[in-house]
Amino acid sequence: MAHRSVIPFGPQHPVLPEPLHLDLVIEDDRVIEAIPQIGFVHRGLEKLTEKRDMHQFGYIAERICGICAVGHSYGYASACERMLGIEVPGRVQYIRTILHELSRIHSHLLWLGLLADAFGFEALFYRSWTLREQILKIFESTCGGRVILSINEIGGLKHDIEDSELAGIVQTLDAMRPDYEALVHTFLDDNSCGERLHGVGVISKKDALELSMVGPFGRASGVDYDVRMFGDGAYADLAAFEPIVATDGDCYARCQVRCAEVTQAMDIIKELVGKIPHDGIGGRTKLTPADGARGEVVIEQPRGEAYYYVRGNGTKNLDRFRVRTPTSQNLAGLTHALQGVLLANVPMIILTIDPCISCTER
Amino acid sequence: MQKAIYTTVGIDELLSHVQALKGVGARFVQMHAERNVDDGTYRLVYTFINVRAAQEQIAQDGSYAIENLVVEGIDQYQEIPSISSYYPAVFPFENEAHDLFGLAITDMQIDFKGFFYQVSTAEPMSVITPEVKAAREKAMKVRAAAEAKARKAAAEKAAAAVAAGEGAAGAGDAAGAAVAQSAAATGSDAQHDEAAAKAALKAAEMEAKLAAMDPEKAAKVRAALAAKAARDKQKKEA
Repeated sequence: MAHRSVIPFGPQHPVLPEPLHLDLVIEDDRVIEAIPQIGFVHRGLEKLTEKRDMHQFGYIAERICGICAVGHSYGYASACERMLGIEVPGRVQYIRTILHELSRIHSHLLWLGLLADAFGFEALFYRSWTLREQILKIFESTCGGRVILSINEIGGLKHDIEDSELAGIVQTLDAMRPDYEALVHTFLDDNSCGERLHGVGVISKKDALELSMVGPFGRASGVDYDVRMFGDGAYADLAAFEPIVATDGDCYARCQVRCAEVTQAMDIIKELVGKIPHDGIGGRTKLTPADGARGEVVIEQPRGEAYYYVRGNGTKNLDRFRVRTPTSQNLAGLTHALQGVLLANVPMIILTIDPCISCTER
Repeated sequence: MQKAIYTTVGIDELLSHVQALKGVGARFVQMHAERNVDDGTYRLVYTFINVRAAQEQIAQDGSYAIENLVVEGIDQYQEIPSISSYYPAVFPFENEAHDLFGLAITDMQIDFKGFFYQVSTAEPMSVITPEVKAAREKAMKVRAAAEAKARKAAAEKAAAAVAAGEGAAGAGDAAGAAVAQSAAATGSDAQHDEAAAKAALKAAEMEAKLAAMDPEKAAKVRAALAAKAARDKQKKEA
């Protein structure tokens, strides 16, 4: 019988951008079991609702994560609006969705860059992040910030984005497409990439469903689930929406899904800019939730389904705020994907679930 | 359009409901705990989405439901069965509820035994801070004052209506007088209520201010207020 040992992996490790710890039980160089541990940077943001009122908390919700910041403020504002019974104008929904989809593009390009870096393809990493930079410039020119945009508030938007600026976004995305297609061609067709990704960390559809996996991690295993398909808000006005699904369930399939989702997001933005209504941008509202009033929403963040829940107590502070981020839902899938793999492939598999520990450690 | 359905279940019925949801193919979304500030009990909310049913519903009327199972009135050390045998993805949330709220969840598939989060304060989410308590009490007082004001307005309106009726029917209507007397009494009660509510509101505001102060300074202010109250009482008695 092979000798068993436990390797402590993280929380400080060269391949981990954030503090995640794994106890890897190995036999020779094969992982038998992986037990995750988080909680090294838990910030207690949900408790902060006691000290910050609902409007102030919007800024904190946005800072849950530096990559999906737009999505967090969108989800938080939507949950509060549902609790307060506020219906925001169509333009607000469209602009929120456009920024959310831009955020998806920048998140996936960031991930593609990290993936290239993980298998030592530095030039591909630079090219991915060069393209991502264009999205950050769009954010900066339209909202003033590159990551934290602070445009969403309960009841509407803080400022409008002019039609000319929206047209400029579409032009930038159109100009990015040839470079992006060349990038995708390298990721999906180059042997040096394929050899590191094919057949690594496979999860079957049955297991993915059993483990309630979300986002590209689940869709790469054939789980046909994307919150956007329910058609909430501006997504309802899209001519068609189909989740991007792959069936192999390996690291290559996860890369394939994310690559296709960037193009899909570009198409969504273009369609929404063409249809955007001009019915105002709403505005800050009085905070008078009834005692015990609740609001909850699910949205599709770049990493998958995220859940937001708020509960009022008759004051301007929330009784409870809850956010369930995609990574915390995918931890069970991560431990499953690591069972039976070679130790050398562990960093690649961890990366392909695109873990966001700062989201999880809210 | 998302709709939320909340079904309250008992702890002993929880697993059978979860099993039923699993049986119809519902996805597990999340689970979280809440502290009930008023009575100190806990509430657990388990959230699910049945994707197939949601798609069928959307095709019919454009809406779909997020289904929640709510377990109310949980005492802190009451045992709660884990649902991880049905939905393994629940393990981070159950461990979180244990570490942050101190809830006793049994038979977790992956049990960190209190070491999932590295917290400096034990069960931090179970602590009700003085600020929260004061804000909560203030809100209750404000609500009571608003209700008293509404009662007073209703009583005045009733009295005015009765007076108008008396004018029309003559002063000798005994029944009308009785109603007017009753309404006036109600009005007097309402005035008393309002004064009491105002005093209570003032006290709650002071309590909230003290809660936000440095504890040492708050203690000095409290002592000064108590001394002033004693002096006032002596003056009244003299």
